Amino acid sequence: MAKTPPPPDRIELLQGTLDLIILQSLRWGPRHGYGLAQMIRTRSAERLQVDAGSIYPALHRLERQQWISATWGVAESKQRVRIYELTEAGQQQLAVERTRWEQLSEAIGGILAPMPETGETT
Amino acid sequence: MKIFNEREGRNDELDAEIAGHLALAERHFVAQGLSREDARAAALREFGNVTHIKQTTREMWGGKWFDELRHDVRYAARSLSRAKTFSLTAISTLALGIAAATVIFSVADHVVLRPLRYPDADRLFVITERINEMRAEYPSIPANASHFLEWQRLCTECEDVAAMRQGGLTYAGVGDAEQIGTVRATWNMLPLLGAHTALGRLFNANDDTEAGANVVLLSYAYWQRKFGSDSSIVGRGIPTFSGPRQVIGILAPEFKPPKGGEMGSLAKLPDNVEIIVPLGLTQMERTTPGSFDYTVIAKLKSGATLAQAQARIAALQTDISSRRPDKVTIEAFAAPLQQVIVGTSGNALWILLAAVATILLIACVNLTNLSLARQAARTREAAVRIALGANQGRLIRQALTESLLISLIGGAFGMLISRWGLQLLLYFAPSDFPRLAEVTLDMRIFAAAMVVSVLTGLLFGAMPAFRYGRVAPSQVLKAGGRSSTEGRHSLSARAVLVASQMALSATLLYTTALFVVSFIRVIQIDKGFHEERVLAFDLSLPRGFYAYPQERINFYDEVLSKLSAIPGVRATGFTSMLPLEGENEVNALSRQNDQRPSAERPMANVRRIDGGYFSALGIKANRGRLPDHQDRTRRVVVLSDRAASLLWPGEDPIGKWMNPGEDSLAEVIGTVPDSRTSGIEKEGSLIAYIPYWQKTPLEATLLIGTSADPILLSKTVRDVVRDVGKLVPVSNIRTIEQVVSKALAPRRFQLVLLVLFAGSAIVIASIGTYGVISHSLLRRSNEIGVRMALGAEPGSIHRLVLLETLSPVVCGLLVGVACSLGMSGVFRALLYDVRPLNFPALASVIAILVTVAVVACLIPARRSTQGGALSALRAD
Repeated sequence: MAKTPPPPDRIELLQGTLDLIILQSLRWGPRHGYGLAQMIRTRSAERLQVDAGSIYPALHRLERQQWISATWGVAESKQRVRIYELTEAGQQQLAVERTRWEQLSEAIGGILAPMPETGETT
Repeated sequence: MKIFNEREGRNDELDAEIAGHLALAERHFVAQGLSREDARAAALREFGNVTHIKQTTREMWGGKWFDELRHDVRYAARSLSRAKTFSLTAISTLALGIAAATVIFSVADHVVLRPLRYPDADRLFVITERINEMRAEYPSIPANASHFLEWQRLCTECEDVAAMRQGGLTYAGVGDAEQIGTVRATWNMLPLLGAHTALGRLFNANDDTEAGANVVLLSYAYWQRKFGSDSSIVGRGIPTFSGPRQVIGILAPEFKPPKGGEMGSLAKLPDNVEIIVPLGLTQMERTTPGSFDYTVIAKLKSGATLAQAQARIAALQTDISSRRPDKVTIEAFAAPLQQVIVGTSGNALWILLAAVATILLIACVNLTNLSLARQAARTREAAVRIALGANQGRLIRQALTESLLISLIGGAFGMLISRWGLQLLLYFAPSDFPRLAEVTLDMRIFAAAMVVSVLTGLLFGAMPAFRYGRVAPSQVLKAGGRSSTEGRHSLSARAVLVASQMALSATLLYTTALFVVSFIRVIQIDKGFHEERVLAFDLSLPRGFYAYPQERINFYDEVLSKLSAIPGVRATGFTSMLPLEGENEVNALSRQNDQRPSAERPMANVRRIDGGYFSALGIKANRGRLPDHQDRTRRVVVLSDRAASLLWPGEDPIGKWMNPGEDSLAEVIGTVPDSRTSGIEKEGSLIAYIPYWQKTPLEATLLIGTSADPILLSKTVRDVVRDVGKLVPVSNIRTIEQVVSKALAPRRFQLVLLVLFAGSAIVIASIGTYGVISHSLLRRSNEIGVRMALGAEPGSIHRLVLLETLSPVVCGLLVGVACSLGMSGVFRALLYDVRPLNFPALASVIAILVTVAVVACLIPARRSTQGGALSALRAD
């Protein structure tokens, strides 16, 4: 049984956004998988419906593309964990993904915005 | 297997990583106050489906195809090992087909297709001549020396023109005198053929004169055998009957000059070239207009074409011909060296190649067939797997993997078999088959065979695999495995395959049958003599010791009388040349006071013989008598029947006088049947037999007819000859049966291979038919059960199955026979005395194939009805 009932308005993750989220979260420093999962959950105010485990395929894919790198380390309570870190290429990729996301949200925002007055298009 | 270990390592790492995640989550929940178990469960819930996430993560590593391939291969191997009959049949069929194709392709490639191993081989050509008056009997003869010299001087399209002929050196050192395989060649012949020396030097222009001709080059093999690879031999002399010869070099081991029959039987080059001397044409050789003994090889100037060279030589030849005193017309022809060497062996290879291609095709059809049948039996399995979520692409890939696996294993076995096959083939090949020494299975051909086997796999895998992937699970499963009959579609596809297999086998079988009939006809040819229990050997008298004819006569007389004294010898004979061993001394025959122009006089071989020659070979006089001692002081001649009837058509020749092309007339005392002279299938030349004491050659072949196995006398023969004349070498001891067998060898070789191929075709096709029928009966066991339960007799069910199977078989048979009749024009020239439509052959082919089909059909049919209705119904 879940401790708290799920918030009623949980959102399915848009395809491709998980990469952006992971890259962005790693900007604040190296982190292990569990830490990342926790961070995503709290920062999204538990609105994103993501299984904690589903970040692993994404992590391994990003690692293969060499946007992040991983090393084995030790977490609190001496638990061996794999720690991920943004690479140089990952920084650049994050900028690209960000721009793309902003364009997308701008476009969607434009569509959702109320119709402009006639003749005011530039 | 590094890639495996690496993946295993990563799997472990992934497990550890996820375990770490879960442990951290568990601790987090415990810290919030949950019990350990609840914390564990919550952590798992939060994480999601662990197996699924691991799977997806692994896919992110790349190389997913590799995992699947590994899985497919393992799966294929397992399911193939369960279907043993299918796998064994498929693999052996394919292995046989590929092996046959590889071997024959290797041989054809090396013999026919590859350029000769001489530099600029495509620019080398042979110039032969043709005397217009003898064109029917001798369409191509070696060249005359004076003509050769003229071509060499005046052919502007030729970079170089060289000539060679047989020479006759006899080694006279320690031990028995021994004839050496000798070639006399112009000094430029060796560089023209790209020869190099292992030691010493090649000839130069100064060696190639009448005076300078006593230097020699040894072949590498002869140098090893005779002089134990002693390099000090270079520069020293070796003793021969015509004086010491100075060795100036040893030829490189890879140099292989054209040999023996490769240049045609008239060229008379030795089978084994052991020593080469400069040609050094004598004044007499340069000027004898009637001697045609020179093999002429020329090289085109770069840029010139063979047609230009041919035109130039033809023009020169018109001029030469017009200046000849005897006014005969002699033409000259240029032909590529490769074409001359390969000769008619090329044709024989093409038909074998076609046969092999047919076998490979049958094998492929067979495999497709087997796979179709197998697929039909596995429809349910496929349906279940699709229903359980397997995707169709994956199923197709799995089926393809299975057939590829079969092709690869089949291909590997095929190569193994082809190694043995090639050795076997080389062992049985006729010794004068051109270029056989060059034949190997090389990597290129291995690769070609591999490609063939993989393509075969895709070919026969593709059709069943696509049908396999198109299975609609609901339909199949609805039928609940109780489908009592098969789909119309798969049934007709299989009928077409059975029919085409039969058609291909019938084509091959009928063609082979025609060759079998040809062979029987060739064996039955009346050769004009009897070969049983006769030994022959060659003698070569050193000119220096036997300069006078009387010395030679005395020698031969003594040897012959000593040989006849050996117990068990029924006859001894003398001849200057054996039947089937070629032509010699070709002369125009004329009657006494013949008024005909020389061009109309028949050309005949003159053979030196004695009366014993005829009795040893079982030849009886048709008219008159054979020579004996009373003829020692007279000039007599025996004619072959055809020669006699051409000289005196419709008249009795006995007692008439004629001139066999010599200075004096001889009286015809008898006629004998015609003998085959060069080749069993070719009508023999005309022959004038003249007793050896009238003109005695230095070289002769003696014959001994025995009552026991003649080969047992080999040693005695050497002893007798050594006893009479120490310095006379005995060579080439053979039985006349061996002579005949050698003449039959090319045809027998071809036939053996064809029969072997036709046999494999039948085996493959019957395996295929059997496999298809038994599979389809297995599928129909329900139907059979129902029929039997309703009272059908086993016999009537057998009849039903037979009828259904035999219709495609008969269709295939008819198409196949029609095909082979249609194609017979292509190989007609290879048949002997057989017309393409031969009823006994046709009948036996139909009988064989129908029998095979009926047996292949009845065995599974009987099995399916054996247990009665119940077991048939339960079978599914």
